[in-house]
Amino acid sequence: MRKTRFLSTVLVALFFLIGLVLVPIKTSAASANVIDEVGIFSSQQLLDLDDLAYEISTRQQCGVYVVITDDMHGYSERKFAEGIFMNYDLGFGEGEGASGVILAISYGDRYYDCYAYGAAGDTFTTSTLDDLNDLAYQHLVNGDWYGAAESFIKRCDELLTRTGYQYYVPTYTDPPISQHITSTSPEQRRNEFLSRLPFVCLGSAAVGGISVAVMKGKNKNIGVATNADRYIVNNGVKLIDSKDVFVNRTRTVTHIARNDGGGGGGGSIGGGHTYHSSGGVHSSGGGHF
Amino acid sequence: MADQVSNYKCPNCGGPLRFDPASQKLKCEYCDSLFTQKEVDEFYRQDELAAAAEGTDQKWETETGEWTAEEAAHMRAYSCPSCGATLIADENTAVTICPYCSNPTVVAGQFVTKKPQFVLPFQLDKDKAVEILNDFYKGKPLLPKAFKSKNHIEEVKGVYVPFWLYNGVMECRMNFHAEMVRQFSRGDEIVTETDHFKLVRNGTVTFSGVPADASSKMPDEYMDAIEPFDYTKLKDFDTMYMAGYMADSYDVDAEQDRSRSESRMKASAVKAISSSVSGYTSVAPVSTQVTRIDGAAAYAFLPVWLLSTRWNGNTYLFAVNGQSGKIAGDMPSDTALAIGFFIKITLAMFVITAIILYFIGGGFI
Repeated sequence: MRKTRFLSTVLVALFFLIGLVLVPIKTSAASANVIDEVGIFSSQQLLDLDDLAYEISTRQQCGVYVVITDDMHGYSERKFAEGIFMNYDLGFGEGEGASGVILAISYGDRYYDCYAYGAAGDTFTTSTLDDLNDLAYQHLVNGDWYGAAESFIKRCDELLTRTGYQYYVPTYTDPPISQHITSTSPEQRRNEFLSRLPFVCLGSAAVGGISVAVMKGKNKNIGVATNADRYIVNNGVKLIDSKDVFVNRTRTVTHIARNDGGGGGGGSIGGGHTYHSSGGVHSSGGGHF
Repeated sequence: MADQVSNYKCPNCGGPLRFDPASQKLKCEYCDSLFTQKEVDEFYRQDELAAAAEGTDQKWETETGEWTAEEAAHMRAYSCPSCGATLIADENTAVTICPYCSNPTVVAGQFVTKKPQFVLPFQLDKDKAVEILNDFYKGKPLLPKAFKSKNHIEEVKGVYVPFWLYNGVMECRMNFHAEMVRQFSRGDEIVTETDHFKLVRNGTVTFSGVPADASSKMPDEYMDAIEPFDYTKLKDFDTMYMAGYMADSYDVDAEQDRSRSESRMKASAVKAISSSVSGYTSVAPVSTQVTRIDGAAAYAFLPVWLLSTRWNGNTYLFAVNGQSGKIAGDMPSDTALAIGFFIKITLAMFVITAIILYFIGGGFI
């Protein structure tokens, strides 16, 4: 009975694992500026909002995005907007040259937050993102999802124009995104996962082998003794001569390589604000509605 | 013959007397009477006096077979004092049990030339030894189920195993090279300073009672595995303790066994002296010289229960320390069970690790 239960547990887990590997990854929605995974908007509303955001993004050369997800996608509140931005491969421009701002809303958690990346960080500072959060909240708290998205997109357009935003490719002192979780696409992560499986398999086999060897060892406890520690009499160890003689001293000096390419912190670019050296700008924190 | 072979019979009913670990006296198997050695000796003395008075001293005749010269060199024939049966044993047998009358028989002649100085009386009885063996089977997942369930202990023997107990003082002279490493930063530099030392450690380590079994028939790995014995319970040798048990005299003398005990003492001496070195980043021995400056060996009988079982045509031996109950044995493993466990554990580990990796890696769905 126990054996059957154990085997069925293992099989369920195995099927789950195989399922994880084989389930197709959600396709990137990089081509869309407004993504509604939940179905909040009607088709027409979605089309209107997407057209509006796309027009502004193209004109300003800064991606403006609204993404409504069904849940947090496993991210913490702090990483939610950033993770969605990265995992949907958003932004005007490619890779490190991407520039954009996003309003990410988790329908299930009723959580929202804004995030900016790349050159957009010159316009969308932390305080600006906080203002955008406030703007979205005023609509979301009344259940006006369309209003929240539309006002966000339009306010982004105003801000980009007012601050004289210009697209450029920043040079980052740190890797673009410090967190692996937001720096890789789902496909990359799946490939990484698959590439590690053979090692997992070998490691598991090693653990299995060692476990069986330990079990086998339990069946045999004979062996020739190699020491007589327990037969040393009390106070039976007597040191007659004990000398520690200093012989010489050697010294090695290693030069520390310094990175003279500039500090790793923030930089003052464009509008004079400081943004994270990895390229992203967070708001002070999103909120629940 | 009486001075060579003797056994203990109950003064009350004539049944065989055996040494009882619980009472540490001689106990009659049939009427449960308990006697001290002194009481039994007194009975025999009175018995012999009466027999002498009647002039009926029994004269035993020992038949001698036609052994080959080779056989004769290693075999001995004794006559059982109880039933008169001829007992054939090897040259080292000191205590045996008559196969006809089951009387434990002490070959006293063995103790004339090879008398042990000490004996450690049995503390555990046969039932306890069997119970210990059954407990030993537990918690062994690869033990074939049939071995546990259908296993029948074929033989349980209480044996006084001859041991040499070595006392010795080992002198240990050791030299080490030691290093103490300090690291600190100075400006744009990391400075590593290494102080080198020559260490000298000379000392002595005193050992008492390092055992080495003195019977070539006893596997060393079994006897070593059931150590230690509590020597505080050692008694001066008396044949009373032999009653009911088997015993062989030594056939490996103290000189032959010495190298085994000395190598153990040397290893421990080196370890003990080396432990006086501390406080260094790294220490490596440069030279080690260990010599025995004093040594003596005492001949003792130590109690061991030997149990044997048969399974799949093979005999499996177990040894139980007759004092502490520590058991040693080598049991079979079920290959099919081993493969099954390997597959289950590997599969479970694979699935668990993969799931953990999936979530640590951030997922991809």
